[in-house]
Amino acid sequence: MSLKRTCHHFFAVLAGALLLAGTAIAADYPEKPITLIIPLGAGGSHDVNARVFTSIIPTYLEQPMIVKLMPGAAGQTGTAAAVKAKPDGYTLIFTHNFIDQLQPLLETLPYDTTESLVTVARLNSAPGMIFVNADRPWKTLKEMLDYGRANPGKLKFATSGNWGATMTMGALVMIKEGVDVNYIPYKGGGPANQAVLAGDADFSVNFPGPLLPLEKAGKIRILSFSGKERHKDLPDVPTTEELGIPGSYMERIILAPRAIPEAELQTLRNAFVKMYEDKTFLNMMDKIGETTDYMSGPDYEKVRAQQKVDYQELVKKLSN
Amino acid sequence: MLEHLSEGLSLLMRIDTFVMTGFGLLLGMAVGALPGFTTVMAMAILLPVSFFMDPLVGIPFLIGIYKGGIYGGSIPAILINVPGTGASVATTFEGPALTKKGQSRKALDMALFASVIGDFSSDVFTILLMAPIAALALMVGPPELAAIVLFSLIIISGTTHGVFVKGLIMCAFGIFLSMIGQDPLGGMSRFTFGFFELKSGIPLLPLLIGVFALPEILVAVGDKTTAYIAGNKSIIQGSRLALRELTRCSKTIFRSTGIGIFLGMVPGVGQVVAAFVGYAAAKKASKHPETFGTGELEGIAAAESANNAVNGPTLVPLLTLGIPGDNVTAILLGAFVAQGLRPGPQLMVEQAPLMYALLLAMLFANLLFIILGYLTIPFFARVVSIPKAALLPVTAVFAFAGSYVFRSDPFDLVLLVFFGVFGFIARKLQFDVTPLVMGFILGPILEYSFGQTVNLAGGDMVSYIVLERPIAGVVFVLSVIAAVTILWGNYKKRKKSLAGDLAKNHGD
Amino acid sequence: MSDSVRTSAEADTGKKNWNFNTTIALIFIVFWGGVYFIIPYQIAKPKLFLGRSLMGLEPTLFPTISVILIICLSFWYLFVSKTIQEVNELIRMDKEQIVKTVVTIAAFCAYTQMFDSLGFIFSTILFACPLTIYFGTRNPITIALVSIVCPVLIYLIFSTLMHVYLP
Repeated sequence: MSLKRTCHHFFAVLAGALLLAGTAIAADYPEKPITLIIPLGAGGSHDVNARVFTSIIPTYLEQPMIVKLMPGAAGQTGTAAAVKAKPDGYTLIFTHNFIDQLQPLLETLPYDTTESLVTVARLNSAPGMIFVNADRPWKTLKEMLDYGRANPGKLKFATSGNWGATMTMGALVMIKEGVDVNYIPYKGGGPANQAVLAGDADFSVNFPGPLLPLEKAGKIRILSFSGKERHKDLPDVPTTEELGIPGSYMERIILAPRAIPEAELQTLRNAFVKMYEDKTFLNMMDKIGETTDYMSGPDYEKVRAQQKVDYQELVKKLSN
Repeated sequence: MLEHLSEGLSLLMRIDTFVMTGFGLLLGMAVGALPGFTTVMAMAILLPVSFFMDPLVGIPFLIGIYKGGIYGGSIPAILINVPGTGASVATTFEGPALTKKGQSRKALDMALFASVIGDFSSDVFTILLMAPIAALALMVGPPELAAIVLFSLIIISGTTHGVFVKGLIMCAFGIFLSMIGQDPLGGMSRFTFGFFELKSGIPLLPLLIGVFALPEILVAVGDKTTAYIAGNKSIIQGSRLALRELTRCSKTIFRSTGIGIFLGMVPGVGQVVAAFVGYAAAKKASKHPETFGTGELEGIAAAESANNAVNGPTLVPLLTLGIPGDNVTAILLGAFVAQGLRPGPQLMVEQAPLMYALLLAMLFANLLFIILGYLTIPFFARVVSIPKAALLPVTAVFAFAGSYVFRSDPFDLVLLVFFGVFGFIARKLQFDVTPLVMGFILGPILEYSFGQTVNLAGGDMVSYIVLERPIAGVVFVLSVIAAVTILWGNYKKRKKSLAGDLAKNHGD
Repeated sequence: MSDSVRTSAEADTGKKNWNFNTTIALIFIVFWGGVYFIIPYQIAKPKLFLGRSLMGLEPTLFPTISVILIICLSFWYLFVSKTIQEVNELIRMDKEQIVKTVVTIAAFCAYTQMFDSLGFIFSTILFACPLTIYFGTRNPITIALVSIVCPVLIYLIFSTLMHVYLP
């Protein structure tokens, strides 16, 4: 029975992909496959998220969405391509808030993301958590910060790479609290976690997915959780709200060139709304351990504007 | 543990697991054989398909793609001198030479058996020694990584073909090329000359395909013969591998497997480095090192068993801590999680029978692969009997498409042609491009891990290494010793050949 | 007597041994010497981070080391080049080979230009068809197989089955 079901699903996905490419649809847009640029590498969390939603969304767009991985220069290569793309609704980019809003403030780039790109939807967001190795003496965030203040430059912070998602999340807190820490860049969140587990670094920031099993096994201690309410599996971990520190999230967003015709943008946005009512989709996202806190395009545009202000302030503090 | 194993075994006895593993193996092999199309991409694309399957079907399916893909990469390396990945670069030392001798089938067979033996023993080793490996893997941090990469670079540069110093120059040039773009730690632009396209650096695939595939085409264009290999069509593919030839290499395979297992605990660099170090060790240990580079089956066995033996230990951090060490394990993590299995310290306890069933599935995948590979090799070996006039344009089309799909940037094609012409000139002037590729792959890892070490040390490098990182210190000392030995050996060899020349002149 | 023989032999080899390797070594020294001097202009300065450098390792360190290494190796190369006995195959190419190689490279360049603008299938037909004929195939079935069936097949495999983008 299991074999039959497996084969059925497997061939359904394959055949669907093949068929959709060839079918002509009566509606004007979209009449050909849509390209989704990911400015990050294969196998990352964006790639995995995209593989899930691009296998569902063709049902609502009536055209396939083809992933185009364009890693390089910390996301700049792919972003530049999305900005340069024809604004006909056939090129979208799947990125996150740090590439979108923070990076332009740090480097001179040949494009302006706010001016050139508009939000289609926010797929989901992941809350950041500060954690330490369980054998470290600090029981609360305050204890760790106190130690850091007393010993400037002694605390080792394993980041997911300079200006990567977790570094920014941690830096926001450290700057607000006036703690001078030693930033050690790793190649992504996984190696940074390993550095904390191995005792090479003191603390790091990451998301619930990878951290919860480690916490459960008693290998790490989680000191803070970004959010208004406590996480259901971590009733003892205080929220950033309670601690009075800035919370931080990685927001996975789908953007389109801003000059896209209004009707096309609406079609895309509607497709995402409908996809969020799809049980298979919700089920699959849950299976890969991601949240499904959808946010509509217009709502996220407001968040985006606020981010710009926040990051400008952050960078101003960092650079003097 | 034994009861878990037997429980796992009984879980595994189902036909759909085998069918899908086999399907994954074939798919992986086909994808790996396409230059430019990486196993990681194939796995990412097929990941959602595995969501719909039972854990005992979906995960073995992905593992099948992975294992098949690594072997697949050595097919074009052997047949047309185009390594699909960094891991199969070492295979080009012997593979194409064997193909030109008309022994392509033998070479493919040897690669298959060496791969499977290396992989199988590494998996067995991993299952038995999961906990110690996990502890050891945690001890490898940036300082150790830096020392190991330095050591490997020195060993690898000792195995270049042709003139020693020319190989070293190419290696240093490769390191320099890898620095174009953003520096790995701070993201500062280096040597971009104002080109935004260069900011992301030179991607590996256009360089790899450029220096290997295009010169191969350009050289063949100038050749007067019409077939890719001169000679009678019926003997082109050659005979199959004899058991005697396999047993002759058993020592080499054994050694390479050990090297591969050890390097599998080093995250990120494992496969590439293992293949080279395995090859270098085999050459060093051989009674007839002069046959290496001229089509020596033992060289293929050394490289292929080493890079496959890496597979087992790389899975350990994923299974025991839930930490993926590279992109492949990151995708496997996705597959596990999607099945409701969150890899981490508790998974091996809570779900022991299932986990052992999955580990056993890896062993079965190897056994299955021997059969499938053995049956499909004649099909692949036939590629070389395609007439040159048809094979060359097809190779070129694959080279271009393969360079493009990696990140869909037309600029990569410009780089491809540039490196093609560069590789052609280098080959004609007797420069070996392999050290260039090695320097290019390992240079950034060395710089990155060295930079992290500087940060970790917080100013006092020497006392940090000596007091807190003794392993790194020991490997570093070993590298210095290796460098001196290689230089001294080279000096003596040169002196000897010079004396020989002089004596010859006297004789005249 | 034996002394004079040796000197003449040495002089002989000395003259004969100015070879292409020596020339390349000299070119390398000049070229990489030049690269060494542009390093400071081609590497951006790190931004300061709360008064301390974000990273301990200067971005100039490794490039400087590698360039100095290449220069040192080039001097070594220059030193040993006289004793290297290799054939410069680039000069030994005859006219036909040069023409064929240049035409093929030109085809590569043209293909690069067409690839993105004309799309994969069309540019491949334009690239592979003449090249197949140029390499000596006259059989129309082979030509069609290489230049039309092959690109269409690659395109279908990559974009529909594998969901990877090709223009």
